[in-house]
Amino acid sequence: MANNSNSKISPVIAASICPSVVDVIIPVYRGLEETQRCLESVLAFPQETTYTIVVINDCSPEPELSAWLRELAGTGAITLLENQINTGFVNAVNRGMVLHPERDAVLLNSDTEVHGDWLDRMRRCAYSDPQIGTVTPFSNNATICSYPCFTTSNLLPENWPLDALDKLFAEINAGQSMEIPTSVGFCMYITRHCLNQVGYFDATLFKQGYGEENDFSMRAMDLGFRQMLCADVFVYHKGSVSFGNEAENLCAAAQEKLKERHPQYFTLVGDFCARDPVRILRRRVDTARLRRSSHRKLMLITHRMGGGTEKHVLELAKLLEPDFEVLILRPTHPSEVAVEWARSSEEFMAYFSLPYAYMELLDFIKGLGIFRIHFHHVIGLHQQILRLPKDLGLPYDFTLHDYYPICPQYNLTRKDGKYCGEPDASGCAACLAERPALWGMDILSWRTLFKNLLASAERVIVPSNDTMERVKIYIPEANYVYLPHPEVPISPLNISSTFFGNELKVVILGHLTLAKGLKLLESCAVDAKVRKLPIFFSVIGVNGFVGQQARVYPDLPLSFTGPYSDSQLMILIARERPDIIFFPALWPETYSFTLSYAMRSGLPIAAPRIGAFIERLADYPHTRILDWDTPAAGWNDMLMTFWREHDHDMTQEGAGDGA
Amino acid sequence: MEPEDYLRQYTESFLPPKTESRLPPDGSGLMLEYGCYYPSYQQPEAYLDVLSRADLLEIVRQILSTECPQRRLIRRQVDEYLETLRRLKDERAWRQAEMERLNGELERLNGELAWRINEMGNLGAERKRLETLVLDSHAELEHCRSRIAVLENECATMRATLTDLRASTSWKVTTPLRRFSGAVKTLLRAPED
Repeated sequence: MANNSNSKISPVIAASICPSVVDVIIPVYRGLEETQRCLESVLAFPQETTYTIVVINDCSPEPELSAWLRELAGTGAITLLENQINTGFVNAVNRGMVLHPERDAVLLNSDTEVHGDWLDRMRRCAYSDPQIGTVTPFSNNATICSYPCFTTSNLLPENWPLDALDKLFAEINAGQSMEIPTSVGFCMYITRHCLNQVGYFDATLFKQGYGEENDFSMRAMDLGFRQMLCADVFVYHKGSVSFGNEAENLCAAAQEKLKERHPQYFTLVGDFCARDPVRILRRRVDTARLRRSSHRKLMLITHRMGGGTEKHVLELAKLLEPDFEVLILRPTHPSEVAVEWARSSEEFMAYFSLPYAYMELLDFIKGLGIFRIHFHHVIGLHQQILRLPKDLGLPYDFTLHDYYPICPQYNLTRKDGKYCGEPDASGCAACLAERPALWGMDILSWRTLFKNLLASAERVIVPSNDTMERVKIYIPEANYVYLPHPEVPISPLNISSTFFGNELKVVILGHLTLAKGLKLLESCAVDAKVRKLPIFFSVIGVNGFVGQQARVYPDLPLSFTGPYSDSQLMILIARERPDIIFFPALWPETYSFTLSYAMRSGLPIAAPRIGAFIERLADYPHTRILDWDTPAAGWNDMLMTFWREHDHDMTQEGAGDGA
Repeated sequence: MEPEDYLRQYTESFLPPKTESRLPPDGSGLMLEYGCYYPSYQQPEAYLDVLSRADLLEIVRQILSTECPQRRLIRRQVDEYLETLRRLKDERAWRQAEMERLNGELERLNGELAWRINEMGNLGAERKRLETLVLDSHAELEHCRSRIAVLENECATMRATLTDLRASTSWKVTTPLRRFSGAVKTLLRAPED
């Protein structure tokens, strides 16, 4: 990262190669409104640099645009060059650069907007080193110079209009610049020294635009010129105004040409994108925006194992987004955590190695002004994270998504996935001997640690009363608050079952693990096959954890549809046309998001008498509940009874209709 | 639960907004600048850049205080910690060696710099002497020029006096006498020749 904060152009360089006047070249083809905004922004701010605005009207098909440009040229504000025929973007730019062959050129797209002393800052960057050939500023839409998200076409960040954002860049990245593999043509300062040696843009190869600045950069690089990102200027760029829908095709064609002429170009850019050295400059601005945000800042702490906890954390962050800045702390690997800014269209992440960078993490959180912490899960995190509230002096909440504070296996199950029955300490010790706890603790130390944590929490949020009752036995001191998870409204579907078919269609939802009843389901399928019961089990989801090789059961009446996203689940249920939805869980679920989907479907539900199922299904019609340890044959008998009853009802209904 | 109801209940216990939060200046903090913005696989051993003996001891203290309050270390963990410590020590030893090498290099460059500064001092003195000499020469030259001017003036005066003398009546009246006198002197000198 270069620092040209002593900002004034070197007198030696200035005297030898620095032309005194700069041409701001704006080729125009389409977009009256954008062009007006662009030119008005350039004209609005006085600069120390002497400059002329050269507008090239490349035979615009919009008469209003041409008329407005002529009117503006009549006032003397701009120099207008008019092409009688459309010569293409690159020819238009070249015409502008040829006009004054002794001046530096700034190529500015007509769908950009600038602010403040943008030109002075870019010029200072351009002359901070005699080897600099081109300078590109940050923008919302500028591939490798994009902000806030790298190589993305961004909108301006919420509550940060162009003037505020440019001022922030000018302040936070004052005098900073960084070498980049290619300039980006939306706003590009080219020194005349470079232009004289490299030549103009290649209008033969890149007539319509896209790729010409990359080609120019590569030619300049071959001659030893550097392409710089000017980190203290931000220019707004709407993008694809003149080219419209053609942009994508032009871009693809340009890439082919570039690949042919500069085979090393894509390697250079690919390596740059993988390293992303500009991240430091973007993060400084991100951090400043976070610190200056008027919203209160809340930190959620969770694991990286996905599932219901992750779903809840993301939905909560989304809910809080309008009034809070939410940061999510997660483990990235055993000795590192990442802090992520959970706001859509932001990519801020900060990493801290623990335990070494714990103090830096504390300073970082203090610096942001976080006012509250909310633990959701700590599995996979370093034990130090539990000390955060105390070390920061912050209030905190703890949501119980499972039984981690009282059971290091988190779901009160034995190795075979069945509910352990909550044995005494010696039973837990035997379990831990087989499957040691995180941080290598014994059960008493574990529960003491979490007892202290939960007892000091302002609230311990429980999504079901069953969860509260179970944990209360071990940690009675905590302030429990019953608060079922928020659920994004699911549009109900009219799902018709296949009761008139030859077999009972049983659907199971979610990623099945041992605790979620994978073995029980296999046994049910085996039993159905052996007893020749007309039952078919279909799992919408996968078996085992995501990413593991899924087992297949070609000989059993059991199939898995594969991974799904929540938004697809209702459609997938409707497509399966189930007769009943079955939850074969063997542990006391604390909530179960998939149960919410099942209830929204209106279909009959079969579930075990354990955990949150009991209270959540208390008022739900068409429910069949059996003890959680009912064997497979018992579940199948219940399903067959249910089918016969329902089949009988439907037959009677049909007969009544006929009468 | 409906999201709006959840949000209302979730946030109702929060304290009213603080008027002003104590914020450090933006951009401060070495780790923020160069460390924490990259994941560890992109910044291997970054924290070692700032590691000293005190840091090392602090790390061990933190490990012991956070991970060992309730239990004994098992052999595998001891081995891991020892391995970590060995790696950190190796790193430190390498850095110390590098530091010594750089110190040696710095010393050599400092010596060279001192010699060059001395040389520059000598050259400066010589330059000053020569400049004085040039100034003296200029002064001498000026003096000579003024002397020449005086002499030229004198010469001109003398020439004018001579011209006046030759143009005077007495000079013209006494011309025969000088011619006669000259002839007599010539005659008197002749027998001697």
